[in-house]
Amino acid sequence: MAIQEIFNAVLAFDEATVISKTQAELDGGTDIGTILNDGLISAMDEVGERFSAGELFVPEMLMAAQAMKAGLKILKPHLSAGQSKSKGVVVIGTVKGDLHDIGKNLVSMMMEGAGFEVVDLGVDVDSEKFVKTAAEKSADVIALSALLTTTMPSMESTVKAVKEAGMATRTIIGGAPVTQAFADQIGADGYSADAPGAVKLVKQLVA
Amino acid sequence: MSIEMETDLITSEAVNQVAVGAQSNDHSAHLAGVSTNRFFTDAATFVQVQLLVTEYYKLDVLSNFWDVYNIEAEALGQKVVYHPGGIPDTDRTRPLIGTPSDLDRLSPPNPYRSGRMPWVLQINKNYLEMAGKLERVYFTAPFSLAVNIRGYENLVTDMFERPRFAHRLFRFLCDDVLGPYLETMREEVDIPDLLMDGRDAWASPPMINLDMMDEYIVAYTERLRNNLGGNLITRGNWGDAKSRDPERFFSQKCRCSPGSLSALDPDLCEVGPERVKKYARQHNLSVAAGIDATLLKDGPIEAIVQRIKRYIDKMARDGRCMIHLNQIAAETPPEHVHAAVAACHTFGRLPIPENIDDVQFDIPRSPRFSEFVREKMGTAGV
Repeated sequence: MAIQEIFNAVLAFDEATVISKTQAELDGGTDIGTILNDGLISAMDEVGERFSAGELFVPEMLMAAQAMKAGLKILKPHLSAGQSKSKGVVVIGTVKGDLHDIGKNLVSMMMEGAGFEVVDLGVDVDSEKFVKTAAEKSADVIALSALLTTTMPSMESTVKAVKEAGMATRTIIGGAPVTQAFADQIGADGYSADAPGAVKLVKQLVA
Repeated sequence: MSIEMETDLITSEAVNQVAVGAQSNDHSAHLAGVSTNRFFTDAATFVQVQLLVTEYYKLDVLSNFWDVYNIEAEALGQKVVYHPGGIPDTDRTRPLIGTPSDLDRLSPPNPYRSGRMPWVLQINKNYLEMAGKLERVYFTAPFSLAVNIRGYENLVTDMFERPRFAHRLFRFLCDDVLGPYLETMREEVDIPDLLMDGRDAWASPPMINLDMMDEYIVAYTERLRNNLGGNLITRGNWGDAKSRDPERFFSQKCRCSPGSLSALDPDLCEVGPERVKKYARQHNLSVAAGIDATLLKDGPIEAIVQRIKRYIDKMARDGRCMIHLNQIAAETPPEHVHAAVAACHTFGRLPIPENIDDVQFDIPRSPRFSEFVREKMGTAGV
């Protein structure tokens, strides 16, 4: 019942209730995995579904993600190694020459909300940094974002650098000017038009 | 006729055909072989290049679009990054207003001294002098300016959790920043009723919901318009297809830009020109139809021509439609732009035949920009 309240509070963007209910469940001895999976992660799955259906807009998705992160912050110190095992590691960033970060940040939050470990490299990231970090973190996926047509070639050079490094890490791309056709053209492993779609895509790639 | 349709037509031919305009800035610099650093800081170069590009592409509306979204933010102190070879961009990862209390430390910019505001004032004067007319000037609409100095995520959080602060920020931007700047632009060219054309790409679903559109975008556009004594619009919104209720969004956009409905690809294509035109007809509006920048860049030419032909067929038969080439990417092949303009002029010659397929269209052959400039000016460079 209280898990449902955490779920509802995330959907209501009610950060204070998420914090109090998560803490109460933790103090009451509820299994942490249950709080995490059935409360926080399920709620973000629902947010993603509602966004994809056009029922929610980005501001609501953003506020829900912030509420989820507040709950996650309470759980994190208590997660055991087994419980905290992520669904995969995603290295994410906006490519070289591009300072736009809204889409990247949303994808990052949704990935985290879905149980992935996210390493956010920020904006204006060159291909060497993507490759180096992905190798250090044994990343499953590198997610590349761009808003400018002029920076799309940076996506291509990063995808190329990953392949040349002989890494098994998969690459996905997204951003306003990017298309599936462009992803195919540069040899990326996937493309998504929005944050919930990116989560689904990564889930498929790491399955 | 609307503000959009009344102004800016620079050729007498344009009254007999569907007019075409373009948003071109770094593309213009690229075409002319001028560094973007020079293009976006040297008023004489900017205006000369834009006038040549307007003529080269045979545009019906003067190309005078600078990197509009940066000017006021930069003048306030927000960092703007000048990418070599690209369009300058506001660094929103380090917003000027990091915490609400930062607003109290902000001083309104001085249009004669702050950032590139003096550059814009000079551009306006140069257009008036070199083109003989100045129909409009551009500015960043309040919402997009707020995003640029507060950061999108912070601003959204403000709207949900600190609405009083959010409204204080918008009042500051309208009353203390934009108002004096726009008044100065009008005074400097001595055109008291000069049209102020605000751009607001950030105010687009799904980045905002439609209640936010009412509370922050429509309301503050109207506040600014009242403060400035009229002749002020904001537009450039996309996201019709993501709005869940396109007709409500259309009506909101028309409150921001009375008399004209602007619908931009990819939303126009997704919502459909028929639906847009139906709304425009019901509300006695002209339509500005924006053509997809990615389509323009990637082509093929046949697809560009087909898109324009469809829009003209469905929306321009009453002559109340103009075509707008959305932000042309720097690397867009010039032949794509020439084909788009020729398609507008060929299919859009009024009256449009009942069966538009009866109109013969040939892909135009055009000189290189350097050849055009050499012929016109006796020298290849700008």
